[in-house]
Amino acid sequence: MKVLIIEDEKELSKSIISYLSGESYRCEAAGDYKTALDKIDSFDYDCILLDIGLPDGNGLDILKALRDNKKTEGVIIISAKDAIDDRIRGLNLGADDYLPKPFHLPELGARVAAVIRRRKFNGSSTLILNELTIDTGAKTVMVNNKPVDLTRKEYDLLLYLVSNKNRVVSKNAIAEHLSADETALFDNFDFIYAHIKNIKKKLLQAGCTDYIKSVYGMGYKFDI
Amino acid sequence: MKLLNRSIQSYLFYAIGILIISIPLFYFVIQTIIARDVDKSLKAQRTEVIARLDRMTDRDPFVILDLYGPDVMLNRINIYRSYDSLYTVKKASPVSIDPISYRILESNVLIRGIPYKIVVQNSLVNSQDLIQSIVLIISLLLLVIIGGLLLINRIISGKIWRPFYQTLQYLRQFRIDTRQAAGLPDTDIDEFADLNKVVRSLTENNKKLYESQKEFTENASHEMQTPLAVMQGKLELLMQTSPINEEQAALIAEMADASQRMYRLNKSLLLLTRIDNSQFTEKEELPVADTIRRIARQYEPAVAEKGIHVDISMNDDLALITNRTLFEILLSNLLSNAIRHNIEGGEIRIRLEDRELKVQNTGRPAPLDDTKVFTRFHKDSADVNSIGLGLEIVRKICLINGYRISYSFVNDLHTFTVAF
Repeated sequence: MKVLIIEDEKELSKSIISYLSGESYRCEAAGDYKTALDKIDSFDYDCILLDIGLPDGNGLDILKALRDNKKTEGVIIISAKDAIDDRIRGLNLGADDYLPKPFHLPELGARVAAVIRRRKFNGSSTLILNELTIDTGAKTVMVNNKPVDLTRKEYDLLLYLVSNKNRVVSKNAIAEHLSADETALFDNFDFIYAHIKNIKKKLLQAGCTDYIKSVYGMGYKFDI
Repeated sequence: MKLLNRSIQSYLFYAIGILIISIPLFYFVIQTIIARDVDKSLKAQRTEVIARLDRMTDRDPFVILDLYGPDVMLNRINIYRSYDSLYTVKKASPVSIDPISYRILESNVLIRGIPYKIVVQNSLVNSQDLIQSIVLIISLLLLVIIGGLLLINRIISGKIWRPFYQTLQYLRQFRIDTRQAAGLPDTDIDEFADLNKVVRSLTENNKKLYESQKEFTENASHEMQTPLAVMQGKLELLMQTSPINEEQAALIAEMADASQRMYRLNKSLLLLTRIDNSQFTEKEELPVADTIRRIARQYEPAVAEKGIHVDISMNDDLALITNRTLFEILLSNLLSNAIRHNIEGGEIRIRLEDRELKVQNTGRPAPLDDTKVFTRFHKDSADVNSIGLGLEIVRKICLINGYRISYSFVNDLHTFTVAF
């Protein structure tokens, strides 16, 4: 999977590449508008991360150019301006998602995975991890072909960890992901612990290996 | 006391003083003038009568005298002594029941060498009527003049001071963080024009300062976002490194928490500046009760976590035309506040009735300092995760929507009331 990161802030770009490269992504970076256009013209990508505020142009123009050239890359806008206008304009121009800065890298990882699933498999891809099968279309989880009954939050959390598999996902990132609709975040992480405990219990009962590991006090990791 | 009344009061005292002095003065002066007139005419009549009697030597003086009627009397006296007397006397009159005042001139005279006493009298009834009428008319005139002056003064002063009151009204309505509806009035009176000029430059300068302050906050929050994003990213990458021991993990987790708090603080500051810059202009009709139920549902996990009992009772199908995002933030902040500062197994009551929303919660068994509740960064709890901007955001949202928010401590419940 090829991902292009169009972002003028070098350090951020480096972090994203470093994080995504841990999974099966091959990443390239473009630090300005011109380089970005060149790369888009010459190569095909599975997903493009697009910062709107570039020093030499507006990221939305890149989006327009992409759509004018009938390119089908998934585009996630990452912007420092969490303005509703930008969000609506971006989505109207055909962006797949919008992620305001600052964001958690696991959140970005999950969104990239979701966009690629949508683009590549029309949204109904099935993730198979040994005995564990997650149908992201039907939002069901099966272990050895037997369904496991998870609540919506538990399913979200499991998918989130799986999308960032083999990497530590911090508690803050989980909390923010789970309370995406809420404007005020929860400082108490006990509810994350409760969710994790339930998922682990349900998966174990269904005969699944215990893949979810707690990494000291930092967070959790789906280790496979 | 109003300035207008103060100046009129002085005029009034002056006018009343003049009236009190002038009416008796008038009366006295006019009376004197008329009395002198009467005396003169009495003397003239006496001279004329004597001259006539002197001239008509062939006739009896008493016969001639009859021609003058009852007001001239002549008596023979024995010895001539020079005598002249003027006096006023009240006596019975043939034409009136009450005694009438008469002015009488008595003098001894020699007519053709024979001594007589001549008495000339003049009724004062007419003169007194005259004096009374004159004094009455003058008094009335004075009253009308003074009354008129006061009235005119009042009207003119009212007009003159109007720009001043308009300026005062402008200042009273002046809020540094909202746009002004009415401007300062134009006036052709120099003093007020000066005043308005000073007021205008003062308010404009303050507005400019406030704007630049706001801009600074917004820029600062914006600029902080990138380094924050970088820091957060690097921390998350650091978590992926191995080997990592427990001590390092704890340090990283604490750093991540701090960075998360900074992120939230930054987000809240940005939200505040956005509200200030009126970036939430879209309005739609929102059913309040439904919105409250929906927001409350989002907090169910957190509520369950703390074992809090939530009691919602809504008897108002109120719908507000307002900005959805801000209204949801308002509700969320009130609710999360009620959860955050609650006790284990506590209670939250949400009431909506008579265009009033009440969010009540158990918590510390003492009222909060209601002068500080809505102050920025005022934290009443030792909760490190509370950033102290939630209620400030609530206050701002209420302010721009014209809702009234208040805090009270009722029956051991911390109560926030929003009146729509």
